[in-house]
Amino acid sequence: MFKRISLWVGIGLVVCATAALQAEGPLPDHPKDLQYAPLDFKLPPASQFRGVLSNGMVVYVAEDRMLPTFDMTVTIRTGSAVEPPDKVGLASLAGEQMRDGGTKNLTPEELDERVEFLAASLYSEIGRTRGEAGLFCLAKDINEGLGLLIEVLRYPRFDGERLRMAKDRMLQNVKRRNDSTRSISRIEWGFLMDGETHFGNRYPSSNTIKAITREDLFAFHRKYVHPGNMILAVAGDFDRAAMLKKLENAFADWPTGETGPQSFPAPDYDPKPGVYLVHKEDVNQGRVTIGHKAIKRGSPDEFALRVMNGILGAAGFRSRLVAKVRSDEGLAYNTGSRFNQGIYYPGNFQCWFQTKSNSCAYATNLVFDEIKRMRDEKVTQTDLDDVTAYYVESFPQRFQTRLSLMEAYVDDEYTGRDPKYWQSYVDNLNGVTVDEVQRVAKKYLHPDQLVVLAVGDAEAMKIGGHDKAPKLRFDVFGQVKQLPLRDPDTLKR
Amino acid sequence: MEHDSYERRLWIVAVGLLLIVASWPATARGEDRSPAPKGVQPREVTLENGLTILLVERHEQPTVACGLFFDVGGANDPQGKSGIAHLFEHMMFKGSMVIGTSDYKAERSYLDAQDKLRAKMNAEMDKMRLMKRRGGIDDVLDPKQWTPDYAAMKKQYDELVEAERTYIKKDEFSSLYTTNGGARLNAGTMEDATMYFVQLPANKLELFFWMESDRMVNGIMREFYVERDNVREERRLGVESTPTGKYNEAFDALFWQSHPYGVPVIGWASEVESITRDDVRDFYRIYYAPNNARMVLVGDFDSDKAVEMAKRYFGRLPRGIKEPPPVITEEPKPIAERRLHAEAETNPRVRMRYHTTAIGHTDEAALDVLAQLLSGKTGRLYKRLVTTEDAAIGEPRVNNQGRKYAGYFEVNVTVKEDRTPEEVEQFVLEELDKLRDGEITDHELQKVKNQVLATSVRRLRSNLGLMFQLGLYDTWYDWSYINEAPERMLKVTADDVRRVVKDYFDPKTRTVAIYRTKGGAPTEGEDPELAAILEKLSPQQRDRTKAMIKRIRESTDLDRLKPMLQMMEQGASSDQIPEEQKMMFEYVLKVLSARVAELEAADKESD
Repeated sequence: MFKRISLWVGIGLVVCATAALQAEGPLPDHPKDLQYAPLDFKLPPASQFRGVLSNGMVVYVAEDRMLPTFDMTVTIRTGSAVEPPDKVGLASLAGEQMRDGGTKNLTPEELDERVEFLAASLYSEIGRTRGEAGLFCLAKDINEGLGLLIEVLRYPRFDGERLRMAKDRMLQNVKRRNDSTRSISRIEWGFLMDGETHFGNRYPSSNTIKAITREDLFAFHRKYVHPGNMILAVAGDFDRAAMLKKLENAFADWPTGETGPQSFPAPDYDPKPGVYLVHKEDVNQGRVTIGHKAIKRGSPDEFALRVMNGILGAAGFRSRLVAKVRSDEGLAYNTGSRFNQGIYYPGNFQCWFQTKSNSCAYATNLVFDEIKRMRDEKVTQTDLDDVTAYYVESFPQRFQTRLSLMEAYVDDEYTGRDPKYWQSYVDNLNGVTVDEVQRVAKKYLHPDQLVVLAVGDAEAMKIGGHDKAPKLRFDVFGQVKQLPLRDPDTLKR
Repeated sequence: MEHDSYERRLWIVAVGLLLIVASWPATARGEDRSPAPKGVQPREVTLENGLTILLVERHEQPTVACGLFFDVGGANDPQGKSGIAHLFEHMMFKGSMVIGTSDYKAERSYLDAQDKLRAKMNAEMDKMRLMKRRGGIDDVLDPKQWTPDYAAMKKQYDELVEAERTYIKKDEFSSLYTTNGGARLNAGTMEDATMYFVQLPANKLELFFWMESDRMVNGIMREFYVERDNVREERRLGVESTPTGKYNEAFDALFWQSHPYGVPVIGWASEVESITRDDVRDFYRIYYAPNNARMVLVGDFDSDKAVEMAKRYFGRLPRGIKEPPPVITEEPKPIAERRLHAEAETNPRVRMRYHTTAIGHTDEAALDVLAQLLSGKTGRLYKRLVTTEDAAIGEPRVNNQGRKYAGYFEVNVTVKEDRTPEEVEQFVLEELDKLRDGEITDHELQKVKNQVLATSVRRLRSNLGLMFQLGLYDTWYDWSYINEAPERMLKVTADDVRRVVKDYFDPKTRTVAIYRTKGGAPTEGEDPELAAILEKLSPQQRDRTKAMIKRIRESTDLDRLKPMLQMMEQGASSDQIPEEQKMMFEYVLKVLSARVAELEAADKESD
């Protein structure tokens, strides 16, 4: 009873408040009627920050005086792509142990102590197609911090005990790759798209980890970590000219070596369309990924593809997959799409969601329909305008700090993208038309080539039984193949 | 919307911030509280209806981080309706009588029809729950097990939803923000706060006032049951289908005996599935009122203009229909240690928790310093567990979390697979003992204080980060916590730390979770005979046996091994070993006598 009364009281209040809001004052009835002053935003060009040290090292340096801090990121031309296949894990260990394994002058413990006493942060790591090291410290500690970072980069100790501990940790963690559907799905999707031999799908196993020696780390480091292979991003509370001089001095006597990899090989593999199920015990939700190969970056269709994919699934609640799978049907908390235009070789197009086992086939059908619809129907002008605005209007927010802008420019330099890319970014997006969206959808989305990967309770996913389509099964999307779980260590079946 | 736990504490330091954050001139504004001129000093304005507004101008980037924080969270969920605060947060994105509809009046008739039908469906659902209790069905959500009546009504309901769609402007609320450059649009529900936020281009701040003042009062629970299903999926995603989610939830429930913190913010499955549109409407009228909220703006705007807009848009909103009730349940002092043994697909792990204090308590700073002394690569736990004992991997996570009503101190360590969580637990306890009575050096304390200072500066770098801190601290305590907490930490002495260890780390008050790897992690090069024996043991016995064998094999101390061998031999002949442990016992005995023989032989050689 109380509930009923309070409900009516509540509604009464709502009505009053609405009336009050609308009746008094010049408040617009709808936010569409709000008038905004123009925003004066110009992205400063890369050339304003770029410098070259006398040893040829490229640096991007920006003053940022808001706080008494200092940040530096070092991008290193290397990657696990270039490690020998019988020592997978070497690049990652070398990257991590530059920092963790101490330096010529400091034991790992002494280095840790110094870094933590300064309350700085200092890290190094090597991923698949690049290495990175970085420093954050207070501006008062710039000299000492910079000194520590350079020591880590130039004179790593690769302490034997720290290396053993790191290898032990890796040996333990390789066994845990089948713990979650997230991990299983990520690894399996890579194999389905790019095949098992591509470097992007090489994972350390206990055999390759054990084969890595301290000498391997030294050799890897010697070959790839030197000023000719580094690009710096620096931002903080300093005078730019003085900082350039400081960097010049700091790196001057470090000789450069041979240049690291400029590009990385494409996979030699054609994905096989169909439905792939992987069974995982004790989960009540299936993790589904749907997609196929995409293209490489630098195509004239890059921006049309970005808008097309935004409308399909990448522009938050304004995109169709979120509207359909989540908002209309209540099937998934997390759904969307990505059309990844790879830097060195074609990336892949993927749509995803996670939903209770018996809804997996039904939701997959919704995603297939939306993909087809992108090709078959022209998007509306409103769709196009909203999604273009989604990217264009938030553009000034992309680079919230000077450091993030420097890092974006370093990234362009490292990957060989035109430094004017960001200057024409907004115009390029605004130039996309409704016709172009449909043209690229037809050209780059291929419903007949879709691969579906579903990880979860395989039996329950197969049976389906969503109340709106009780008879729908996975086999309508292609041949269904159940893949056994891989051995977590070797990733062989 | 994403559910943020905000476990990490955010420290802000007063020192040196005069230059950083605009300090407000003491103009004669009646409603302004005059802040002491140091640290982060937002301008603070309170409207007559109780809405608090905190403003910090920073003009480096042309954006404004905007947040609205409500003093409500999972801890306020009524009995039997866990998850309501979080579900409601989702509903706030579903539009209002103005936003998200092309004709509210027309839409309204469908909503009413849905409510009527839903009441009947709920009654039928109660019948199905009864059937489930009696064993007639085993899942009320499985369409194949629904009663014909329920299935028919569900179909009818879906048709009404479909018909309503004609009038729905799909997700217009979110679109209005994102097409105007609103970035990071999201919300989060915690135990003691619900927050809504977006970062806008500097020229579009008015949009925030329009949208937020509208949804604070004109919200309607559109697409309610569909969104409830999404939340149910969110729970499957975050808790039920992860390797440790269910165990972590069980651990919280074990730690908090009576306090609502023991109930998950996302809600228990059976309760989330049965929250109704009526339930959330009542909730809305009490908690989503200006007197229970604060707004925080950080970034590139003019605060005089912002205050004017706040008055225009929010000034006329009414206070809530009644004052929100406080949470009064207190956690009783635990009378016995509690332990959870989990077997999960994860690395072995130990989590140890002690009850500590609410946020802002006089002992909090010393507990925070203690957590720091134990953390990091040079902290006491890493040195002991990783470097000395080689028993853990990665940095142990140590955290003192003072929430609005109560708090805890937690140590969380990933254990090496050839060691046991119990061993690691023992090492942690020994380290705590050393802090109880032993020396804490000036260097250690100074390091913590340096970190307090640096971390604070660092965390002011983003407008969004500062906005979150001000909003959350003001909801839980007072925004001034941002300045006070680090000041208090800087004053903590070694004696303070020793005292809190004595006062709070009583074994009776602790709750421990032991995670073992499901099926046991295979040990490399393991003797097949041992593997067969281990298979028959419980996970706990398995770990203990492995650890014992490892210790025997590594020991060089004949003076300890020999008496042990003697005792075990006596035990073997006494027939007192339980049948199921006999094989294990004999195996250990074999290892032990081999090790003793080996050491004796080595001794002889060296003689």
